[in-house]
Amino acid sequence: MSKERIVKHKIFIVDIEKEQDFIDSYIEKGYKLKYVNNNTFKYIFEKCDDEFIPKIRIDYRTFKKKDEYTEYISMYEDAGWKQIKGSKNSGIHYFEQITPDTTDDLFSDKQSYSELYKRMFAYSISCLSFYAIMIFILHNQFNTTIFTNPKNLFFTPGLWDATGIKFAAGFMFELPFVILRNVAPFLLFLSSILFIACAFKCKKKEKEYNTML
Amino acid sequence: MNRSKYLPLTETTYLVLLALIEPGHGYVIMQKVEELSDGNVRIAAGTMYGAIDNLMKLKWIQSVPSSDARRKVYQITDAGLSILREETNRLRSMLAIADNLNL
Repeated sequence: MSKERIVKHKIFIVDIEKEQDFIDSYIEKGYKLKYVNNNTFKYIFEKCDDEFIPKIRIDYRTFKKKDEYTEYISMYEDAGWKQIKGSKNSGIHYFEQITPDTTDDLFSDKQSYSELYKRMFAYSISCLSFYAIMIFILHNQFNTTIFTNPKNLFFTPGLWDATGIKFAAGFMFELPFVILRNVAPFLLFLSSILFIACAFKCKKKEKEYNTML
Repeated sequence: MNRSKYLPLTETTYLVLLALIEPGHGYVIMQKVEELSDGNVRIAAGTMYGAIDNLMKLKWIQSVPSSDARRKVYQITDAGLSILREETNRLRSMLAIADNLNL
């Protein structure tokens, strides 16, 4: 007999504690996390009758050297945390409690949480720099009007002089065509916005924990 | 007297330095801290990893040769010992204040 499964898709931006709470809420109802993929935002929970259902905790770290990564995984395993998702360069790592004796959290002081968000902030900034360099390199290859003068992307005559419903209708009508004409710059634009938002959120979380120190 | 800008140390840092007067790898340090504090302080894995990382950068601890390829062994350095003594003196004078007030 196959066990009852719940498949969930949920996006968490930066907020590791919220994601942990989300997974915890299913564990409390007697489900075990069977599968997680942070790229597709997919979680699969399976009904579990065991008395001990391991908690899932999330860490964010990248490693320069292979032996640093090996040491990291060994130390977590010694301390009762088995890695269920993550690799040397993945950044995000999911760990599962090995025994009920394992600590409830991966971190036991506020400073560790502040440092966690600091690492994630550095990652957001490095992504943002990458996109900035891309835009700089590519600015002759494709239309960068989206960054310099987005109004010019619209061809409807007199659109920017119109007001009220006439403007809204004209804008909404042409918007899909504008996006289609500029897919690459639009993706670049959206990613940049996303990483700026991530960076701000990381900084905010880092500061929150710093004030608790 | 000019006090080190690193003082006061966090509870985690102080206990890890104390534990590393004798060499040990990450999990050994965690067990040692629990033992030294009569089970009152349990350092979690992520905090331990971060603490070692920070203390290595400050050169208050160093890695020493070990036979286990998967686990690095650490020990306190002279710089680490001197900061540990400074912090201990600071804590003593704090306690003395409390004692004087019959707390």
